[in-house]
This record gives sequence, structure tokens and C-alpha cells, in this order.
Amino acid sequence: MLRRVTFDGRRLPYLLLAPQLLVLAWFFFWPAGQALYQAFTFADPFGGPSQWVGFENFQDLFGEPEYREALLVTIVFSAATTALALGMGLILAIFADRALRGADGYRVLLIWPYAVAPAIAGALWTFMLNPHSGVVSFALDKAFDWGWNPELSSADAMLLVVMAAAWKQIAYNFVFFLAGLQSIPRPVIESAAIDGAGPLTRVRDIILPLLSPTTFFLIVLNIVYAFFDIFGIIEVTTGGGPGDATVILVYKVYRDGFIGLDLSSSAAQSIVLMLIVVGLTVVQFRFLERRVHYAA
Amino acid sequence: MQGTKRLLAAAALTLAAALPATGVAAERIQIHWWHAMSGGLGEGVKEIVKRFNESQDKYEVVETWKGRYRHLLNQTIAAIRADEQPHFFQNNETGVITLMLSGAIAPAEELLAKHGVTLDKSAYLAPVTNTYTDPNGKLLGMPFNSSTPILYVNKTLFDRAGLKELPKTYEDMESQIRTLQASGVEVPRGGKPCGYAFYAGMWGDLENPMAAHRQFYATNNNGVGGLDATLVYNERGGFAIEHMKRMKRWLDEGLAEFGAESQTDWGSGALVNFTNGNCLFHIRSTASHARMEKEATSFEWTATHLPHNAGVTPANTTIGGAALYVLKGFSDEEYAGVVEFFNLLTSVGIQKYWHKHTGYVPITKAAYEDLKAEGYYRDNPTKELAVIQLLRGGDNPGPASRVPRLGNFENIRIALESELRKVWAGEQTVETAMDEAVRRGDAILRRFEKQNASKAKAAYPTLLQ
Repeated sequence: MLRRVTFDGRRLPYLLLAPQLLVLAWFFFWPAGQALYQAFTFADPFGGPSQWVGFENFQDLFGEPEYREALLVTIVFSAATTALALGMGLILAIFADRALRGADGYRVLLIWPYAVAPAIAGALWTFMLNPHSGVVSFALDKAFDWGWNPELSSADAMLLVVMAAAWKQIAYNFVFFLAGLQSIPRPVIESAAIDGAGPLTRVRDIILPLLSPTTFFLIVLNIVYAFFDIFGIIEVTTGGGPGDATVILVYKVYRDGFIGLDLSSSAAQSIVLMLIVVGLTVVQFRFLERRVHYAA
Repeated sequence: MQGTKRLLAAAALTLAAALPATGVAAERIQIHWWHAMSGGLGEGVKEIVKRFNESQDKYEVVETWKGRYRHLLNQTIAAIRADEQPHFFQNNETGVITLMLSGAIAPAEELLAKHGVTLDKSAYLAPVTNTYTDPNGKLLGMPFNSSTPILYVNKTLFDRAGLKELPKTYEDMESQIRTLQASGVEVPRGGKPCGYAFYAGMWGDLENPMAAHRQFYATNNNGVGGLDATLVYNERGGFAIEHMKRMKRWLDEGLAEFGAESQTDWGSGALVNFTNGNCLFHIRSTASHARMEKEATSFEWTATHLPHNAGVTPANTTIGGAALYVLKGFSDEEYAGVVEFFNLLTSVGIQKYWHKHTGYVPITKAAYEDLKAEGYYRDNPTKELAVIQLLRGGDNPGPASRVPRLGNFENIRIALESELRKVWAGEQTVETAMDEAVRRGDAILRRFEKQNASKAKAAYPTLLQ
């Protein structure tokens, strides 16, 4: 699994890395540096002079109840979306891994949703779950007398966004899980089966541990997805509503920066958000990675 | 190699042949206009631009649709920073203070004066000009599309329920809805008819009725007098609180149905409910005439004035829509072209066309008089409602009967809409919602004040007193 490739000399490797580094510098480090600067000033949206204010933007931010609520909502969303997307992705991959007739067909269909842009996914789900005219709303009301209304019920709205977000991500996880499953040597599973291990035991004791590098990788990526990429879905479905129930941190960055033109607060929020995600990733690498079983 | 040489030669010749053709035609000075008008409104814009371009051969106005107002503003700001701004762009009534303090706008009245055109503000409808006038009394943006909310009525349901006179007051509306719901009249979706299709748009359901009832939204004359304004719409016993309580009661009693504003188009669930023929009443902009004509086809509809409380003589309502702001950084020759375009825009002919095509009001009194004289309103009485509402205050609308001029007004509105949504969902009371919204809105205002104090000091020092 861990092979090393070596180069003679340093020129070629740097040359090959250069385009990627350039992209990183241009599209990440420079804007991030600007955001850092803007977070400590009162920035003028029109490009005029800015005024250094130290930590004032952060003080105002942490004093806002709405910011704390957005943090809470983000935690709930990320956990729910990640759990759902990983869980479903894994289950589907385990099923699709079997040598069934038409397995290739299932695999293609299961991968398709990943190609759908978040905004489109949001629009599709909004349409199906529209409280006034959606098919799914109609079914839910008929079957469970739910009174489905994401325009008024914050729980319904969160459910809508989690479903739309997880749906997209299941496809991504499915691809990786399937690849991971197929790299598990058949003889290992077969001998376990011969020894009398049932399907669930096989999954728990053999498949999951051997799949752990993939799982770890996907957890990190899914959390980042949940923090940032579901912005598109939220903007198109609930717009942060009802009553700010679906305002996650990145949505608040948009609302304050691009609707409110309060670039300084938006920049401060971006910095905090970046630190949170970096922190989360560091924690995952430090503590979760220990439990990952890399094949020798 | 021979083949390649031939190919290159052929390509070079084709290019050479094509270039002069494009070169000769584009001698006109291009003037760029970024706007937010799509659909039927966009067609109107294209027509106006076409008429201007055909009426002279020195300038060519190039109009580009850039999405909704907030997206358009962001793109314009990005363009300003990159020194690639358009000559003028469209921005709505919520952005006045931001643009006023931006330093990027070439004020309209000054620009016109510099090119020999004196702007007579009294020739315009007062609510239109005073929304876009700066503290020194000079017009900042050129008014273009102005609207005000009116009450659309499902005439078919109205008649079938045996109702006679269109409602003037909210009390009338309530009793008429009850009559309809008791009458057993059927609606396309089946079940009880919906009375008032409610999307809780702050502009039509709160700000405009407040203006008509002379209730202040914020101190300092709704923010016009200074940056240290605070929000006061949560005044106990004031129109705003009582009206929102009434809306909540209507929802609870089934007299109104809530359908939220859409994230993707300019409509709402309530609008859809109404255009599907299920509801008796819906409050929406006069600029939605085109939309009604297109979508409310299964029943007969009409409109009447925005309602008010019984026993109150309503003041004027306020405007929505937008104005055209000219940006700095262009040559005198280009600005002369912009001025020529604005002259055409405010001419009676174009005003009449724009009004008839879209429902936005004719912003000049001359255009309005002309429309009356030609009998347009005899056949289209609903189109006159908005103008009448805006003219109620004459040339001096009261200080509370104007669009609030507040920093980051979009987010202040969002805070209120968001807190009230929890009321419709039954999660909090109207009083709590409005107090919370005021707290949030005041925080937003204080941040705006902090960040813009130095800009205000330089441009409009009176705002800091």
C-alpha cells in the first residue's frame, strides 16, 4: 500500500509540482491572506481604504447569539449528513460488491447523483418536497399524516437539506467504498465464511477493519463537504430558513458578506470557520488514524 | 509541410477578411447598462434600449441582465474593484445609503446639470424622488422602475360568493373572507377556499402598510436623518405589532394561508396558490400585472388599493423597484451619452410604454397626465391604483411614509422576516419576535454605523449628528 517513488535531483519534482502550487497560491493562499487582513479591519466593499480595528470584528461576532446558533446548526447538520451519507454509501457498496447479475448497472446508477450540482440537487428536492405541490409531501401526508412543511417547521427544513446533501454524497462515498471493498482479498472473506462467520460478523470483523483507511479518508472529506458544499443546497431550498433554522456557518458568511456587504464580519467568520475545519481535521488525524489498519 | 503552409495561409486570409467587417460597424461609443430585469421586464428593457440606439447614431447602449439585485450589486462591486465597471447599473431602494457612502457613484442630478439638463424634482412623483435624494437634496440615482403594493382579488370567487364592493380595509377583507368560506364556493384544489394568500413579504405586508398608517420603522425619520437610527417598529400598540398579530390570527383561524417566498424566482408559494385560483386575496407589487396576466388565466382577476385599518385615512405608500446609478470613472463624452439615454428614459413616450408593458408606475407627472388624457385607465383601472396611492402625500409625504434608509437593510429585513416566520410556525409570540428582530437589526445598524462613520464624515457630515 505504501510504496515510495524517488526522483534523482530536485528540479524535476519542483517543476511538476509548480502548477499545483501556483493554483494553491493564487486561489487559496492569496484570498486566505486577504480574508485574514479583512478580518482585522473594517474593509470597504468598494475597495476604498480600510481601518485597522484589531479583534473588534471577532468580539462583535462572538457576542452575537445568531453566530452561536449557526455553530450549533452546523454541528447537527455535519453529523447527520456525514452519518447518513457514509452509512448508506457503505451499505450500498457492500450490496453492490456481490457478483450479481446487473451489478454494473446498479453501480453506474448509484454513482450518477454525484455529477449533479448542489444547486440543482437542491432544486430537485425542493420540487419533490414542496409542501404545496410536491409528490413526496403528498405521499408523506397521506401515509403518516405528517403535515410536511419545510417552510414553517425547522425540523422538516433540516430533514430536507440533510436528505438532499446526503443523497449527493452517498454516490461519492459509494465509489470509494466499492473500490476499497474490491481490494479486500477474496480468500480472506471466503475462509472466514468457511469458518462459520455469518455476513454481519464478516462485515464487523473483517471488512470494516480492512476498509478503515477508506473510511477514515471519507470521514474527513464528508465533514468538509458538510461544512462547505451544502451551501448550494441551502441557498436554493430554504435560504437559511425557516427562522434561520438552516443557517450554517458558511451560509452566514455569505449572508453577512454578500447580502449585507459587511465584508469584515464575513472575513472574520471565514477565518474562524477555517480554523474549526483545520482543527477537526487535525483531531481526526491524531486520534482516528490510530485506529486505521493499513495493510503492510 | 506544404499542406500546413496552405492551411496557415488560408486561415490568415480568412481572418484578414473578417476583421475589417467587424471594425467598420462598431464606431459608436458603447455605454454599458447592468440590470436585474428578466422575463417580461427584460423584454421592456430591450425595447427601450433598441429605441434609443435607433434614435441616434453616436452611442450604443448595451444592456446586460446580471441576475437579481443583490447578485447584480455584488458583481458591480467586483467590477468597480477591478476597474471594469459598467457606466450605470440598477439598484433597489434598500441600497441607497450604501451607495450614497460608497464614493463610487456619480450623482445623477449633478451629472445632468453638468450636461445642461436641469432636473425639476417636482415633475416627478414625490415618493420616487425622495427615496433616492441625498441629505443635500440632490438626486443620487436616476429613478427608473418604481412600484408599490396593491391588493389583487380573485373576481370570479368574489362574485360567486355574492360579494359586491372590493374591500378598503383589513376589516372588510376579513369579513369578506368569512363570507366566501361560509358560502360553499368551490376552488380548483378542492376543500375550503383560501382567503388571503400570505407570504409575509416585509415590503408589502409590513413596511408599506406602516407607511400608509404613518408609523415609523426607525428613528431619525426612518433613518434618513442620521446613521445612529434605532428600530422602533416593535412599539407596543403600534400598527406593526397589531397587524402582525392580526395576520397570525388569520393564519390560526384559516382565513389566510402561508406560502413562503421562493428562493429561485420572484414568486412565492402564496402567489402560486393565488394564480391557481384557490385564494380570494393576495398582496403584491403593481409590477406583477404582467405576471398575473400570464399566470392567473383560469379565473377573472382585478385589483384594488392596499388595505388599511378602518377609521384611518391612509397616507401614501412607499416604493419598491430600483433606480439607475451612474458610476465614476468615465469620460465626459460617455457621460453625455448616459445623459441622453436618461432624457429618453424620462420622456413621456418611454414612460408610457414602460408603464403599459410592466405595471411599474409612470414616474413623471406629465406621463401620468398623458395616460389619463388618452383614457388608458378607463380600460386598465388596476394600473392606476399604484399612482394614486403614491400621490396621496402630494409633494410632501410625511416623514414616516417613506422607505427606511438603513444600512444593510436587506439583513435587517431578513432578521424580521425570519423571527416572524417562527411566529407563523407557532414557536413564539409576535412581541418576542419583533423585540428579537429589533435587537438583531440594531446590532446590524451599529456595525454599519461604525464601519461607515469615516465615509459619512467626509461626504455627508450631517448624518453623524
